[in-house]
Amino acid sequence: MSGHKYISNTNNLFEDEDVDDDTFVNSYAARRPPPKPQTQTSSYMADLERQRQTMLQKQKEIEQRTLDSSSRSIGLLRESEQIGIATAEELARQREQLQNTSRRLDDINTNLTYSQKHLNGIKSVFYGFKNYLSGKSDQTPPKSQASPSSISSKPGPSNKLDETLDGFGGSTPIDRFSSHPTTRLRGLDQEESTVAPMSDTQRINKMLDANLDEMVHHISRLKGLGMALGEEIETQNHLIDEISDKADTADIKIGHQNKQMNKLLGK
Amino acid sequence: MADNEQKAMQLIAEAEKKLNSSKSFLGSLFGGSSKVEEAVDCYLRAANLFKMAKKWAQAGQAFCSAAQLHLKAGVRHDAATNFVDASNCYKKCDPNEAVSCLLKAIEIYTDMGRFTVAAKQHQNIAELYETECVDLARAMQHYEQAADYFRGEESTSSANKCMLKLAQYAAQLEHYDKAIQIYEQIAKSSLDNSLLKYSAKEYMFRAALCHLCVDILNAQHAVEKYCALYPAFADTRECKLIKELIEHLEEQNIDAFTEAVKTYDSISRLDQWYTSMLVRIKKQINDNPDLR
Repeated sequence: MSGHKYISNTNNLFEDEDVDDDTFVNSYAARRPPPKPQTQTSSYMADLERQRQTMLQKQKEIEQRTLDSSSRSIGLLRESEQIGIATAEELARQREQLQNTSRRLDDINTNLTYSQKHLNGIKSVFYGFKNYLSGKSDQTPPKSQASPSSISSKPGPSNKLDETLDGFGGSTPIDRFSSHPTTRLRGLDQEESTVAPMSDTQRINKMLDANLDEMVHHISRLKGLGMALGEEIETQNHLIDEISDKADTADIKIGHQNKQMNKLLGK
Repeated sequence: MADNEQKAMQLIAEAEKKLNSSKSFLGSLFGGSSKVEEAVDCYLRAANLFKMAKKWAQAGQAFCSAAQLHLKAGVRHDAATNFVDASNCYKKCDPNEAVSCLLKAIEIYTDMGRFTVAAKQHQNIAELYETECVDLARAMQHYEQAADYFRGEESTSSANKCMLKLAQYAAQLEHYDKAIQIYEQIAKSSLDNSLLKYSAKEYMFRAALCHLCVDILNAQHAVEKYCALYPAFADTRECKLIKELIEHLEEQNIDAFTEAVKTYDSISRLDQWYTSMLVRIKKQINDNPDLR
């Protein structure tokens, strides 16, 4: 109990005169413990306040930069995907051309064996006779090395890839996120039960997470695309080797036949 | 390079002399064919020299004369090759001449049954019409021809390439039905191939944009159809953009429309074709004031 008397006249407690509000308030204010020396703390507090503001500012800037950089990354990922897609189309076209070339080379080789037989017939009567005897059978020469391998190799890898690609359907990346250990650690997989007004930071975090999700999608697609491209190039390499062999054989045969014809024509 | 030019003119004069001389009775009896061959040779050498001297018109002419001689001699293949060479030279100075040379070459190739080469030449002509003398209708014609020939020769991806260009120009010239048809067909066929699967979403996006230019309800049905065909399409940004655009179109909200387009553009650039289609769709909003 303080010694302050807020009732001026204790003797007469029933005086009409009410306690003046102002007096009451002021006496209470006076009863508070005297505040510390004002000037020093105010500057200290102001300093801290300023530092806090600059920190907050920096935090906002960093968050914004992170967000921007993540959207830029998404843009870049999409560009890479588009480049990959264009490459894939080009590869598909190339594959067709390679297969065409292979087929034509087969034709050329069979035609060359044909022409060799004719040349043999011209060269000497004996050969001609032999040709006549075995002649009727070679109307439709067997499609030598008719590259059944190239045709069957196409469905093979695409089946395996189809499976991997189907596995990449929409659900998998989300499952991976929720089953990732860090997600559980951070407790991010639990539903936000409180829908309290989100602070800026939380909002930005949410956007960042959405962006990162999208990046995961993109990267997994790019991975699939890259693997498919790699396999396609492997098979095409085989095709090219085959074609190279066939072209070499054709070249040798043509050289021989040219020489024979030159001899025959007496050049 | 006046030196080369002069040599070339000399060669041409020589060639013409050889041709004229072979008309004499004795000459045509004994050395007729070899004279023609020599003349052709001279023409070709002259053409190459003109090319070196960068006199494209004269080079083209020399190639053409060589080709004519080949035709007379009955060597069609060489004639066609020379016509193609001639068109290459004319490309640099007179595109129309180039086109006519290519047409002659195509005639010869289709006659011989070499449809793949003919198709490639049609593609070349179409490209000329695209860039040099801009005539979209004729370019479309040639792309269509090229695609037909390619399909005849079972080169489906080359055929698809031509059809895509065809669809692009069809949409630009407002033949939306054709464009939609082509895009849907190509999208469906590319779903089968593991490599081309990734490009299916782009084609579906384009088809959906064309649908939007025609009718909003159609577009909605189409988008649902595509999502059913290709489940991953629903996750893509393209699909989200289309859904947003449909929404804003129904509300006739221009600002939200532009906003959505801008956000999409900030992530991946929209090229000229896309922007022109989107501008047309936006105009639809302006033209259909809310009558409700």
